Amino acid sequence: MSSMAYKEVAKILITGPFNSGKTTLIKLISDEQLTGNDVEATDELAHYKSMTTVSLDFGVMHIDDGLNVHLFGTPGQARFNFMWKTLSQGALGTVLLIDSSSQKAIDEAKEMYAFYRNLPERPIIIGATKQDLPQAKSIEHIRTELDAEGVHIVACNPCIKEDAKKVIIALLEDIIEKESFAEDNAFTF
Amino acid sequence: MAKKSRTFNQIPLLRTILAKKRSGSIRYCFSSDSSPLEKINITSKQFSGENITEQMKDLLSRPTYTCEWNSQVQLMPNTSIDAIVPCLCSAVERVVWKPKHALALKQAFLNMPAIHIEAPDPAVTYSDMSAYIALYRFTEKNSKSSPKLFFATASKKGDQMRYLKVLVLVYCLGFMSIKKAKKIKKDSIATRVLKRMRKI
Repeated sequence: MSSMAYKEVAKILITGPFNSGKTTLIKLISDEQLTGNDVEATDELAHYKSMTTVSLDFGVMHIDDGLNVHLFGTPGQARFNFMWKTLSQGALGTVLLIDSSSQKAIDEAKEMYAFYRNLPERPIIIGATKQDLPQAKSIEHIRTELDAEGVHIVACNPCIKEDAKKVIIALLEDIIEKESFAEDNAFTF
Repeated sequence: MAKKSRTFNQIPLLRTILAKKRSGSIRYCFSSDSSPLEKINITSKQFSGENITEQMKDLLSRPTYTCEWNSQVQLMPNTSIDAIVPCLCSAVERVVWKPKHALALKQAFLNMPAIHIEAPDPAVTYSDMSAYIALYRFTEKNSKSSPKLFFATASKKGDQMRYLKVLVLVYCLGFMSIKKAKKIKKDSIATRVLKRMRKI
């Protein structure tokens, strides 16, 4: 019999349009980052960012002796949207990061939000990045654009560990709240 | 579009907001109405509409067929919504259920297993505290303290309604929990991750 201890694995999805900070966030909070192949951007996006992610960002957080969390970051370009459904399977929840300073990014995020919002039993939280930039759109603007009433939108800088934690913690609190709501509904009315 | 069946789903939603001390809004549409969704906002500072007690009374009084809850953007823990407790007490005192609605609510409680009730809190300004204390003592004394057995202790016909009201009140306040055999509750995966995240 193998001596390897069995570990539970949970999954959290980090998604968002190009250049929203997904790779940075995963790097910052992972104990191990296994992939995340940055290559020079060669398409029209090269104007905005010199390096971009191909394949997936993938990080592992060691929670305790019996549990790891896998963080999956989707590539930001719209052409990879065929991966959304597969990646979302079995996820605890989704963090949607959006570059607040780019209306184009907010527009692109609409389709992503609509997809992930409709996944049953998988809470979503929005992280509004680059809020410190002068051209950044407000949280309320993003909420209105995405029609995201009732969803937590957290301003965050994924380069700062505390901010990265704040987003994940907000998602986990939402998940726990929904779990406890399900428990409360043991009382059926 | 087919109509959804009638429920009292707004009551568990109200409980979620009050018991968890979170801001939130409940959007609902009564089954007998063709009116669009109404909304009740419950936050730490203000309530929508002129009269929260009347709104809550309305919310408690009828079944809905559309009802949903949104937590609002409020990441501050321990939001104080104690100010709403007197409004809830007053709403429960004044609510009048149609007999069929009262029966449906009572039926929901009759289906519950043994329950535990928290001791009366000074913030609860409910006028019929004798019903509260009767319920509290009943659950403290009996290991099989189900609402069904509690209703069976009613000696007068009027007590049934008093007992129903106090059950609704303690339920909404989150003072009611299911009595379980004592065992160590295992944290969910999300709770374990959250604990770890708070440490790093």
